[in-house]
This record gives sequence, C-alpha cells and structure tokens, in this order.
Amino acid sequence: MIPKNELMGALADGMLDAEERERAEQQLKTDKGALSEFEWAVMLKQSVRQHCRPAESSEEWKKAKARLDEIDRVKKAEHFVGKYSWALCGIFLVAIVSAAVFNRGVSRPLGNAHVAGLFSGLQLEPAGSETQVTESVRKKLGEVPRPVAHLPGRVTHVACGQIDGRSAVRLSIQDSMGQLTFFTIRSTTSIDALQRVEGDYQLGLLGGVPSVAWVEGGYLLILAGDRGFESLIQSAESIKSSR
Amino acid sequence: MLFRRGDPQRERFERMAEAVFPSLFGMALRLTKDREEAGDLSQEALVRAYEAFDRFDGRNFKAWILRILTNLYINKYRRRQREGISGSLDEDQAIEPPAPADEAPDRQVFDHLLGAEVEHALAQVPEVFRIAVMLSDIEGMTYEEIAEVTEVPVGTVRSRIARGRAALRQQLEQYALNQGYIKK
Repeated sequence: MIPKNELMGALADGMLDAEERERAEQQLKTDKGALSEFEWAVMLKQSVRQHCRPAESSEEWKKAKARLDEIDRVKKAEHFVGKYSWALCGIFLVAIVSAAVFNRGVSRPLGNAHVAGLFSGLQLEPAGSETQVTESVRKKLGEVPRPVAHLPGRVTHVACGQIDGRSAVRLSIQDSMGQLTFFTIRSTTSIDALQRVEGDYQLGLLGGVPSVAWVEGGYLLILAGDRGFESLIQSAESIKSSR
Repeated sequence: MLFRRGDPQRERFERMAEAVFPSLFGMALRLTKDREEAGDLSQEALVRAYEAFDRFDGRNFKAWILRILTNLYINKYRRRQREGISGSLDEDQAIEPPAPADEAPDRQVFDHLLGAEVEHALAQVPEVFRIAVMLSDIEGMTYEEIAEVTEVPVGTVRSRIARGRAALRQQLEQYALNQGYIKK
C-alpha cells in the first residue's frame, strides 16, 4: 500500500499504473487531504521546473573536451611506449653501451700497467724506405697521422701493435743528438705516467726515459729520448709546427 | 578502452556527452553549490564515462552518466564526511517529518517566488531527496530512470521525491512567511 503523500506525488508525476491511478483519482474525490497533497505536488513540480533553469555550461564543456583530448594524447603515448617498450629498451641499451665503449676508447687514460708494453710489446723491425714506413703506419692506423710525416730525423725501425686495446705505432728515429722514440697511440688523450703538465705537453719518465706527450688529431703522441725535457719539447714543437 | 579523436566511437561519445552536458553540469552545480567544484565534478564524471564507454549498454546515456556523477559526488561527500567536514546522508535523520497537507497550497507563496529563491530552497533540501527531486522535476526523468541513476528501488525513489517535496514546501512556506506573503 503506497502512502497517501507518495501516491499523490506519483499521480502528479504521471508515474502510476492504471490500477493505482484509478485508486488515486478515487481518493482525490473523497479525501480533502489527498487533494491537498496532489495540488502541492503539482505546484512544487511546476515551480521547480519553471525556476530551476539549466546552467550555462559552454565554457565547462570546452574544458571537459580539452581534458578528453589530453587523456587521448597521454593514452596514445602510453600505448606507443607499451607497444614498443622492448624496442625502446633496446635503443637505450645500445646507446648506453655505445657511449660506454666510446668513453672507454676515447678518454680513458693509458694506465701505468701498460707503459712497459710501449717498449716491450711493440717489437721493432728495420724500417726500410720512407714509403715502407708510411705504408706500415697506414696499415695499422688506417691513415698516416700528420706528425709521422714530419719527424725530426730518419726513421730506423718501426713497430705496430696494440696497447691496452688501442692501435699503436712505435718509430725509432735517429737525429743529430742521437736516438728518439716516437709513439702514436689511438683513442686516448693522456697517460698516467706523465704527471707534469707544461702548456700542451705532459712530461715524465716512461720506463725511465724522459718523455713528452701531446694530443693531435685523435692520437696521443709521445716523444721519448735520453735527453732533457726542454730538448724534447723543442723537437715536439718542431713536429707540431711543421706543415 | 579509449578512442582517438576522429575515431567514430570517440565522436559518438562526444556527441552524446555534449547533448547531456548541460544536465550533467547543472546537476553538479546543484549538488556542490559551487561553480568551480561543479566544473571539476562534471569533468571527472565525463572522464570516467569516457573510460568506461565500452561498457555502456547503449540504452540510456543520460541516466548512465548521471549515475556516474552522483556516485562520484556521494563518494566524495562520504570521504569529506569521514574527514568531518559535512553532515549525514542518513535518510531517516535527514529530514523533519513532512508537515500535514490538509490545506491546499497558497497560490501567493508561488506567485511571489523568483528563480533564486526556489534554487535556494531546493539547496536546503537534504541531499538524497534533492537528487531525486532534481532528476524528476528538472531533468524530467521517470521513476525507473531515477532508480537506475540512484541505484535504489522505484519505491524508494517515490518516497524520496515525496519527502523532498515536503522539505521544499517547508522551505518555501517559511520563506513566504518571513517575507510576509502569507500569514500563519
């Protein structure tokens, strides 16, 4: 049994089935309270409908639409990342490994442990003609670094090999003051054993022999000889300045 | 499930959402009584609907999205309630017993009313009843649709509307008395 106020409200809303409506309409005729409930319901309904207008919402709709677009963009990006995550991981891994290899090859200094290898690991052989020397160097390094063509004396011996995984060439030179050794080492810019720095040069002893080193064209160049550092620097300067 | 712009499903959703958005926002505004909050609430409801659009049964979009809105609001309201900000939603405590309706409505009460006064009176009606009255009298929904939105039986909808109107009547009569439009 529906309470009177609810019955009259539902009648005002047109939400009663035929049987209930008939009963409600019968009640309206006989029950003053029911009639009053009905009239109140109708008046209140009309009043709310008349006065409570839809709110202006065009701005809010624009914002809501923009938010949907934003969600689409984010989801699209997430979808892409999700779909190609393995590929992206692979690319990052390759980039990291490449960077590490590059870093290891280019900037890691030549450690003290490898200094002995500079002399013992590169076995000298007679140099032959200047062309033969050039060819040996080119074969090892893939090019002839500019300083090799401007050495301050005659090349008597040549040795090619690897020092700490880097291509290296050792040349013995005879100049007016005696023997010099010239090293060309790829992919490094310094050597731990040479701690003193003067201008562009690193100075020190390699295997007990005074040496100066400098960097040119991606190579570490070392000039070593049983003579003073000033003399070595002078020779290095003449190599650097000759064109 | 989401759809890209230009996707027929996305366009279908947008078309349907645009048609019901004034109702959605209006409902949110009358629930929160704050334009900014209403904007957030209606937007949030729209986003939830968009994300769940593939689960929409295709029958009554307006009822479906309004249900999302009211659920969102009630959850938010209950959260606030737990935080001690707002009052109770308990139906039995939410309203004084309706005044006896032996007398016919005084025309004068209604003749003097302005939109803002009715809006204000409606805003004072306890929430569960207000939602039912708004869905019925502003949105023009049937009791079945309201039952779907509010997830209660039709009988409860009928009761809520009756109690909501009784509360509204009290508010309006009090207002008319205060203004001197009617006498005790």
